[in-house]
Amino acid sequence: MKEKLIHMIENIKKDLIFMANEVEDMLYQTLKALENQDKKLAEAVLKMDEKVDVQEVQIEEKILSLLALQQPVAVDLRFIVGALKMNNDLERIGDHACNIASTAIKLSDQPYLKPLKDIPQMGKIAREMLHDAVHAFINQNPDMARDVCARDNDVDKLYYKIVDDIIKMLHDKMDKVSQGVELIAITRDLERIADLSTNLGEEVVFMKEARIIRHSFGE
Amino acid sequence: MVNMKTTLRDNNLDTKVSAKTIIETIDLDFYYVPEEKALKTVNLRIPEKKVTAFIGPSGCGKSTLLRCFNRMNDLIIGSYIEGSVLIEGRNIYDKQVRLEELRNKVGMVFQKSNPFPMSIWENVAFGPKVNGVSSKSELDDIVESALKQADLWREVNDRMDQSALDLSGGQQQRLCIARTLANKPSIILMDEPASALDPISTGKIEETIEELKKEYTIVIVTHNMQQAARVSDYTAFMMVGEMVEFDQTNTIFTNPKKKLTEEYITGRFG
Repeated sequence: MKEKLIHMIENIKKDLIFMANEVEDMLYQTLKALENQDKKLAEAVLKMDEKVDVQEVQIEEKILSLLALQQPVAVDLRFIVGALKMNNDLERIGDHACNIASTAIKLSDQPYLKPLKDIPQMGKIAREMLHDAVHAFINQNPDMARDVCARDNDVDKLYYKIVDDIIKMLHDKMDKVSQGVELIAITRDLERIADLSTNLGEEVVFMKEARIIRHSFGE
Repeated sequence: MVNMKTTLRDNNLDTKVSAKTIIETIDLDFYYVPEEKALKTVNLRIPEKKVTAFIGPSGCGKSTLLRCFNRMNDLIIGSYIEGSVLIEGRNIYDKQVRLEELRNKVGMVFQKSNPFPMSIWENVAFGPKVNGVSSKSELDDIVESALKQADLWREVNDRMDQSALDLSGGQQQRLCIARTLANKPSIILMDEPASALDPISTGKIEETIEELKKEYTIVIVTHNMQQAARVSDYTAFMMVGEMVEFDQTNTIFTNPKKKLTEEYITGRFG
């Protein structure tokens, strides 16, 4: 029995890592498409999301079947509960990457308000957070996961700064309001990606240490 | 706001049990044969009116420990204990303790139901009669009350004169619980009470346990870990005669502190 349980857990872990790599790639491509105003690349990102959605459903089914048939406890239970949440978070990150890709398509044929600098910087941090959260999961490393969570503040600060800058800029360029709103939406997506990457880190800590660190509980 | 630090606290033996202790073992060693300890320095405090489950691999000493609580092991020739077992603060191995009195106070239900070859009514009334209750109406009341508590009354009240041996396995086991309750114990020991029963009968026994803990302290030995998780408030994990870990059941099954406990409950050994 235990071999079967371990095999099922390993299988789910492998699927999650695979899905996480896809989502990381989506985020990388979508940021590149935004920066280079590459419509084709942004459209490719939208296609990638269909695959991620299928993976999410398959992983959820595997998790439900494991819960029903193997009744995991202790470290295994924590892993599987964490995996269920991570599955959901990764799928949502994929959705946010798609939102950015859709906006990149809309803005691909018009000059930006100003050369993009802070948004790519915010995207870079969010992408690194996601990357490191996935590695913390692969290596089951709670220290690395905590480090991810700590970086969320940097993204939040950038978010408020960018929104503020855009609003100021719009005072002089009323014809660019709709682009300004789109860019704010992008920063909001990036901010959410960072939040969800933080969630991933929190789940790794829960899996390894049984501590719930979100909302500052248990830390 | 929920204080997660409290629910996910680090446990140690002294802080686990907040309810009043009813059974306490102090440096308890048990020997079936000299110089071979079946229980090794067991220190444990079992809370009152809670369900405590003993889990562990076969031969770990959980049934031996359970039987120390009503001195059933006394029947095994050559066996002896060192250390003490206190029930409500009194050492039950004290020479002045009367065994009949102890076993009325600490009832026991076994793995295999063992009704006497007599009627349902006689089975439940047997203990009180031996203890001197002779009034038929008083005995009727005791029998009815015990059968109701064991959740069997509705199924048998119209056939009290029928042989207990005609009941199903699950009903026989609940009859044995009723027979124990008729002696008005404060503690009920259960040694694998549902291991020979089908899932529906097992469910009824578990529901009965849930009801009984309002009035009684229950200590249950079970090989079925899901059952321990479902029915107990506290769980003790034992291994080769030692108490490895004792904590709230929720903690044992979500975040055990000892690696050995985790390996056992996750099926990685044993």
